[in-house]
Amino acid sequence: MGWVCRNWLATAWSFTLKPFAPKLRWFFLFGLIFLFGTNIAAADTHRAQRAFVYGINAAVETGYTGAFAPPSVTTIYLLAGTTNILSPRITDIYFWPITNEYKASWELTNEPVIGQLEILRNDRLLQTPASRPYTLQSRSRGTATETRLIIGDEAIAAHTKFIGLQNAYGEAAHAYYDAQQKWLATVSDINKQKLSGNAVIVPPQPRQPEPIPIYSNGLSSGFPVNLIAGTYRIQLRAPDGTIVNDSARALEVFEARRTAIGYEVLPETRWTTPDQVLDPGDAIVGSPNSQLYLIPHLVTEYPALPYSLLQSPQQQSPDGAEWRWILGAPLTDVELLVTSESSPIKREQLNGYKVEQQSGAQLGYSIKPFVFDSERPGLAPDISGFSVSLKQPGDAFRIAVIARDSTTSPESTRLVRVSYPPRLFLLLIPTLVPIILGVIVIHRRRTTARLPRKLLI
Amino acid sequence: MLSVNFKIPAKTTRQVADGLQQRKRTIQILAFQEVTDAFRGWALYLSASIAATISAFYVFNATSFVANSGLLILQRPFLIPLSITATVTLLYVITRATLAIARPREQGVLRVLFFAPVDSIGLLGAHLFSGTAIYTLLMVISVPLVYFQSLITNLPFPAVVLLSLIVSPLFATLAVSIGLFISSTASSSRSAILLIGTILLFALLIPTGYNALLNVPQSSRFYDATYVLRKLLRLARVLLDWVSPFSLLIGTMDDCVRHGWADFTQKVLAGLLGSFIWVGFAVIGLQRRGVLP
Repeated sequence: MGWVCRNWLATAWSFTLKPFAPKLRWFFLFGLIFLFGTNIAAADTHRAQRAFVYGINAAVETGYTGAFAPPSVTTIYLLAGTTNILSPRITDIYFWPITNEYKASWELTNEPVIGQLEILRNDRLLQTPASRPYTLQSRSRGTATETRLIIGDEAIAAHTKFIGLQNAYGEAAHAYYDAQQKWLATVSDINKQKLSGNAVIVPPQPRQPEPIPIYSNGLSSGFPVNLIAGTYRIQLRAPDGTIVNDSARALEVFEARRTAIGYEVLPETRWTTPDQVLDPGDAIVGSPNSQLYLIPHLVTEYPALPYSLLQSPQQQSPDGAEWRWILGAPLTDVELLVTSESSPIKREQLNGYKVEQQSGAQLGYSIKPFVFDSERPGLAPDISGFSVSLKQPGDAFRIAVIARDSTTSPESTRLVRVSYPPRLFLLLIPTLVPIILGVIVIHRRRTTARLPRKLLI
Repeated sequence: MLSVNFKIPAKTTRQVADGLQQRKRTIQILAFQEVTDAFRGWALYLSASIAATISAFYVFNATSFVANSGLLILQRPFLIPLSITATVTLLYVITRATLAIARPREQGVLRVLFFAPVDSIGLLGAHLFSGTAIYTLLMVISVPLVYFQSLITNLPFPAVVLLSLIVSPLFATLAVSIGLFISSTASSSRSAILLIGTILLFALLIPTGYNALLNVPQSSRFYDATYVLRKLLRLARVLLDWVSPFSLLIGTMDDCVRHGWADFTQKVLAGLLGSFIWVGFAVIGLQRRGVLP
């Protein structure tokens, strides 16, 4: 190894520095160090590069998802029939090898790009949406979050209202803090008076202000895009008529293949790890004497790859299934129909349930109907769903959801079965049938083949 | 100058009709004989029994899980047991077709057979029909066994899963066509079996290898050692999906259950086209290779 290094150094010396005069050699050497050194330093400090990107607020089944498309992303994916926002921006991007993707330094540079977004189909100009102010506001509803996209003047008004709520909450929180300090001081005094034997009344503790029920991503501007399924091209035309560099991208708008009503299935014994029955062809199989809680959801089946790239445009082509069911919002204004051959149709109402931990050291819990407590009005049920009892092995029925207003709803029927205990011996009995059949046929053939023809008649 | 016209008189419509009638009768007789032979052998009954045994273990696994866990979301109930049953049946039919020409040729029976009014199209047609009929009859025996397993466990057996099998004889025709092509071109029954075995092994290894590679963890966070191999296997799997009767059969069953009628139609057309192509190749192969060992 040493010999190789020595050889390499000698060769480098003879080819690079030897031809120069002795004084010039040092000058040349410093020159080389300067050149390479500055390059190394440049690589470290200029990792980020200024780039044109599209900020994307894309509609998904459960609300909106935020992403951005750096120049390396040549195709943007959106859902058909939904309003999405594309925001052309100039920002600093840098490659992050750990996740193998570009990241944006929005806090350093976030400049909107002035221009007109053009949507083309088959190289013909289809739409030129106008840039408009928008805001995304989310509101918690039970365990789910409902996000709303607000555009135009309504967005400005909603944002102003949100800022007002934020300021009011800030003032209320400040006032609460002051009141709390005063109350603590009062309680301290009372304690002292108590110790000296005086009868005192403790004043009520100040109440915390209610948190703001809305979250907002602030007011921004972008191009609302709502298209039918198809392949498009987008580009941003600058005020001088030229196409902004890196703004031309493909736009793939796709739609759901099927919509149905699916269920989150919570067995009483493990309610914290629910299962999901999404495909209308799937069935629920349970054990006898068990209780299930079903939460109905709207479910939608999308092509897996576009849906994945919609949420994460820089994802490397993922492998896997072709189609994917997405669990949507829970349904509230519905009833459950339980149909079986042995009993009349039963209607179940959507009820609230409360989970109670077992007291003592033993692990476990029980699920009971939720009772509204007027003293704690903010308390919500742990489960809002239908209760289904699985009684004895062999039970079989269908469940389906109908809307209370009797409007037609998507496919919601699922088979529910209570299985018999596993018996391998019984299951293997049918495997003997073909063998027995074979023995009969072959034995008969051999017997008849040995007999003389006249005996056969 | 004397001119002699050596024109061969064209066949009359009646002669053509008689020829077709004769071929139809040949196909009927040979096909019936093939089906009868199949039912007089152990292989058919063993195939049905093996399929039912695999299905039994699958169902036992599902019911055991329910007994332990209390809940099972059964995805597309009985699609997998029926896919296994159909696959085992196809394996039996394709193996039989692979020996259909090569073995009698090796034994000298094919030469004798061709002294009768039998031609290559008639013979291959007979094997094609008999193969499809054997598949259908074997499924008629096997499917009730799987249904019985659903009854004794109370697992649902949706009608749509049964409907998904309606077009499956088409893929049996495709499998038989491939088997007949190999059989008509192979030098001996041993080489025919070796060839079909190798093809089936590759057909099995491609999806298995691809799935195995999907589960191989990356050697480092920055370097994916199996990336190119995985992409190649994925490409091979996509090609296989459109060529293999096994993939097409399972694919159409899946499409039928999830109502993917566009994909279903494409696969059925691919099966039809594949059958025509392979039968055509088999006819050419038999005509070129001849009836002598």
